[in-house]
Amino acid sequence: MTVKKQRFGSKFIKNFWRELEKDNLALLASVLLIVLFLFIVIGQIFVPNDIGTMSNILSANLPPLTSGHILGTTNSGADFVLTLIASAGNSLVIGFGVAILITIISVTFGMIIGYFGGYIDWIAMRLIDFWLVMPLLMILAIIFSTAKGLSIWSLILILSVLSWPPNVRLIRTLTLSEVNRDYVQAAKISGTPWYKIIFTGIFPNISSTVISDFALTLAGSIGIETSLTYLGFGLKHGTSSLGTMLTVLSGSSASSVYTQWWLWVPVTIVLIILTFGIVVLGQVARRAIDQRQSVS
Amino acid sequence: MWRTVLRRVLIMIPQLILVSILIFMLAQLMPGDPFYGSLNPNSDPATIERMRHAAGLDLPWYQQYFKWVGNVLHGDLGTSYVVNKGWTVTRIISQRIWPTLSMGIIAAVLTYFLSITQALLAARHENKVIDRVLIVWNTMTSAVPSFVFYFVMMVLFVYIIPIFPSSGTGIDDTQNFSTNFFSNLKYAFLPALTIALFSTNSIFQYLRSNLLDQQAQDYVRTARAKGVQIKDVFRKHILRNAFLPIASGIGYSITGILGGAIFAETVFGYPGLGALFVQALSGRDYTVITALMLFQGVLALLGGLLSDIISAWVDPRVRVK
Repeated sequence: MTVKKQRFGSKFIKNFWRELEKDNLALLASVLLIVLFLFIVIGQIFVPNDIGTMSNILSANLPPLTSGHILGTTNSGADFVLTLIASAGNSLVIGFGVAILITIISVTFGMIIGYFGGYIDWIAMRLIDFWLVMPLLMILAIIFSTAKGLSIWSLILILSVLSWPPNVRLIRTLTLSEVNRDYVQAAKISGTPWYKIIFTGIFPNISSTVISDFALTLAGSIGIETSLTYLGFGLKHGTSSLGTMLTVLSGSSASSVYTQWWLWVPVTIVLIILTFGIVVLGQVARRAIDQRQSVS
Repeated sequence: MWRTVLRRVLIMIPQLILVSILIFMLAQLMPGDPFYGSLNPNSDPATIERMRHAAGLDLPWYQQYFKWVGNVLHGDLGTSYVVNKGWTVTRIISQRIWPTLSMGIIAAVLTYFLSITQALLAARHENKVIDRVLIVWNTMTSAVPSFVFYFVMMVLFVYIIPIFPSSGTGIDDTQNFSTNFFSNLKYAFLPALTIALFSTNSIFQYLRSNLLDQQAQDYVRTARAKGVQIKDVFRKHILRNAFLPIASGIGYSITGILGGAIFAETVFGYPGLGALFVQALSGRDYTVITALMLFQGVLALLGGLLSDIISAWVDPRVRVK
C-alpha cells in the first residue's frame, strides 16, 4: 500500500478556508481581527518612542474630536489612538510570548510525563492539582506588586512560569489516551527511540488540540495581563498596555465610566475583537485539522 | 462513605502545609517588613531594632515560619499598618467579609441559575438558532476579560437607567441585622448579577455536552420505546445523570468567591475583601495581604474538599474503597 505524502500546509489552508466559509461568525471575526492586526502593526510606525513617558499637561484629557485628536488625549496628553495602538501592540506581544512559552513547556513536559507515567507523573500531577486550586491572579498580583513595575519580557517570563499547569494537564491526558494505541506499541517494539515516538508519532495526533489550546492560552494571557495591569500591578511606568489604559477608571473617579465613556469604550472594543477573534479562529483551525485527519 | 471523607480530610494536611509554605514564601518576597508603614525618617534605629526583635524578624527563616504558623493557629494574624492603622487584621477581615459573602452567595446562586437555564435551552434546541447564540455568547464571555463587561453593566444600570446605587455596601454598623440585610441587598445585587452573567461559560459548556451525551444513551431509547413521554425521560433520567458532575462543582464555586470579587468590587466600588486586597497591595500592607492569601488558600482547599465529598455523596462510584 502506498500512501501519498501530503504537504501539511496547503491542505490545512484549504480546509481552514472551507471551515471559514461555513461559519459566518468566524469569517466576521477573522476579518475584524486581520484589520485590527494590520492597524496595530502598521500603526507602530507612527507611534513616537516617548509615548509612555511624555507629559503634556496643556493638552491632557481632551475629549474626542478636539484639535486633531480623533479620540481625544490620555491623561498625560498623548494622542489616544496612538496610545491605543502602542498598548494593543504591547498586549499582543505579551500574549504571544506567554502562549508560545506555555505551549512549548506544556507540549514537551506534558507528553513526557504522559508517555513515561510512573512516579514522575504521580508527583507532577499532585503538584499540578494543588496549583490549580491556588488563586493564581492573587499570587501574580502579589509578585507583580513586589517588583514595582516589570518590563514586558520579565512579565512574559513570570506569567509563563506560573500559569502552565492546566495546559500540561491537558496535553498529558491526551498523551495518555494515545500511549496505548497500536501504533505506539508497534513503534516501541521496533525499537524507535522515545523522543521520536513522542514527536513524530504522538504529536501530530494531538496537534489539533494543541492549536486550539494555543489560541485559548493566547486570549487567556491577554486577559490575565489586562486584568492585572488594570488593577495597577505589572508593567513599569512608561510601558502601556490595554489594561493600563483602563486604570484611570478605577478608584475614586468611578463616575468617569459614564461621563468619559470614550476612555474605555474603544479599548474594550479592541480587547473584545482581539480575544474573541483569537478564540474563534482557534476553534476553526482545530476543526480544519480534525478534518484533515478524518479525510486522510 | 465516612472512610472516603476521612481519607480526603487527611489529604488536606500536607496540602495545608504546602499552602502555608507558599504564603510564607510570598510574604518573604515582599520588600521591607511589617513596620514599613509606621516608620518615618526620624525613627530611632534602636527603636526599629527593638520592634523587629519583638516581632521576631531577626530570627532565621525557619524559626520565623514556625512562629508565624503558631500565631495563626492561635488566631493572631497581626496588625494592619496602612489600610486601617492599628486595627488587628482579624477585625478588618471580620468587618469586610460580610459584603463579600453576601455578594458571593447571590452571585453563585445566580450563576447556577443562569447557566443551568442556558444549558437546558441549548440542549433541548440543539443546533438551532438559540443554541448557536448561547454558545457564541458563552465563548465570548469566557474569552474576554470580564471586568470590561462590568463597565458596561455599571454604565447601563447605575447611570443610564439608575436603578442601582453607584458605590458602597449599604451596611451601617450602628443598624441592626435586618435593616443592614435589606439595604445591603440593593448594593450587592448589581455586582452579583454582573459576575453571574459573565461567568456562566464553564457550567454551561459542561452541562450542555453532558445533556447531549445522556440523550444519546441506550436507556433513553429504552424508555422512549416503552412509551415514556420525552418530557418525563428528560426530567427523571437525563437531568439526574447530567447534574451529577455539576453538583460537585459547588465546592469550587466557593473558592472563586474572593477571586471574582476583586474585579467586581473594584469596578463597582463595593468595599469588601476583594477591594481590601487591592487596597492592601497598593499600600503594601503586608500583614493584611498575607492574611487574605491564607484565607483564600484555606478556602480553596475547603472548596476542593467539599466538592469531593459532594461527588462521593451523589455518585457512589466515586467512593474509594
